[in-house]
Amino acid sequence: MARKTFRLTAAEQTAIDDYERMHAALNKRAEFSKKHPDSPLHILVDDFLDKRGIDIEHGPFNVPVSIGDERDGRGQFITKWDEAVLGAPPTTADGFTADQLRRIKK
Amino acid sequence: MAGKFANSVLFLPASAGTADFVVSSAVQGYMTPALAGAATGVYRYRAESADLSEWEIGEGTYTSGTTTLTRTTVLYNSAGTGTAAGQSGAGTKINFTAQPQVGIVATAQDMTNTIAFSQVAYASKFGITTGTVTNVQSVNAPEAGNYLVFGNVGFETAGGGVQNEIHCDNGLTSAVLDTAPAGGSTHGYHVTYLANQGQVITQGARYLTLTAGQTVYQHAYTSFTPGTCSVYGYFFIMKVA
Repeated sequence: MARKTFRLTAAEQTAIDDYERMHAALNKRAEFSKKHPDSPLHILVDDFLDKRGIDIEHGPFNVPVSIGDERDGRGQFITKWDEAVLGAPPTTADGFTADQLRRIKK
Repeated sequence: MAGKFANSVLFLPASAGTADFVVSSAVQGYMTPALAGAATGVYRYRAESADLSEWEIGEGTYTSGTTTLTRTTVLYNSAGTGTAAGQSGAGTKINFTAQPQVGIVATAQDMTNTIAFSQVAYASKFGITTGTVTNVQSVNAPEAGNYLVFGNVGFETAGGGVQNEIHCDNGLTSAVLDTAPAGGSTHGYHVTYLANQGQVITQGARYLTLTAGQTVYQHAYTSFTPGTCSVYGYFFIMKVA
């Protein structure tokens, strides 16, 4: 069966290239967002886990560590820490504040 | 306090006086709480002497295992010393001179829905941190009962970043999203969304059964970078039983 071939115009090829570039950028930024570089406590947690060789993806559900903010002036704090996955939770000796650890069971 | 109800319950307690009512027998033509299928819970009752000179309307907890109805709060009584509006407020138990007849009743308080709401207006929206479950607001459910809780949350982004996930729900734990579907309240989705626009998502209605007054939280979560995201919303609870 004979196959027809099509040649894109320069404008069409440019449009496709732009579309692919935009998607690549969005995907990269979306992935970057999972690490939350604009969130101080996420950075602290990631640095802490890096020392253990653990790399996690953050998210709202089914994740080993969650972070919350009660808007009480004390800022972000760790609301969940799955010891089975992450090991013992951090302490103030690791550079975390008592407020950031206030829901960690001792 | 919200009360349960049981049909056609009228019984004689084991004793007179100010003691809690331990079911002895049903009044002719009526049922004991057990026969009416009453489960353990909070009920409202009316107790009255045979000549109606002594009576008491109150609320207490019926325990099916011991067939005992406590006299926790006296709303009205024949001395006018109950805690309800129009009474003196002392909540004194009537010292029945003989065993009264005690019935499970529904009162005006059962027919009034408690409604509480809170709003963070658009003009009062506040910034949240990426990846952080944040209390948008909270309302106080003032007493035990069954509540419907619902509302919506708006996310307003700025700074030209990408927002790729938004969620809201309501629950009883501060700053934590309950695992979806969170009693019907979860609304969330993953997108790759160019910021600098606003989105408002409804929060599903959730049915909560509370055994005591409690704070109910509205939560928001979003993931974005770079730029900022502010949230606002409306939050509403209604006692339905």
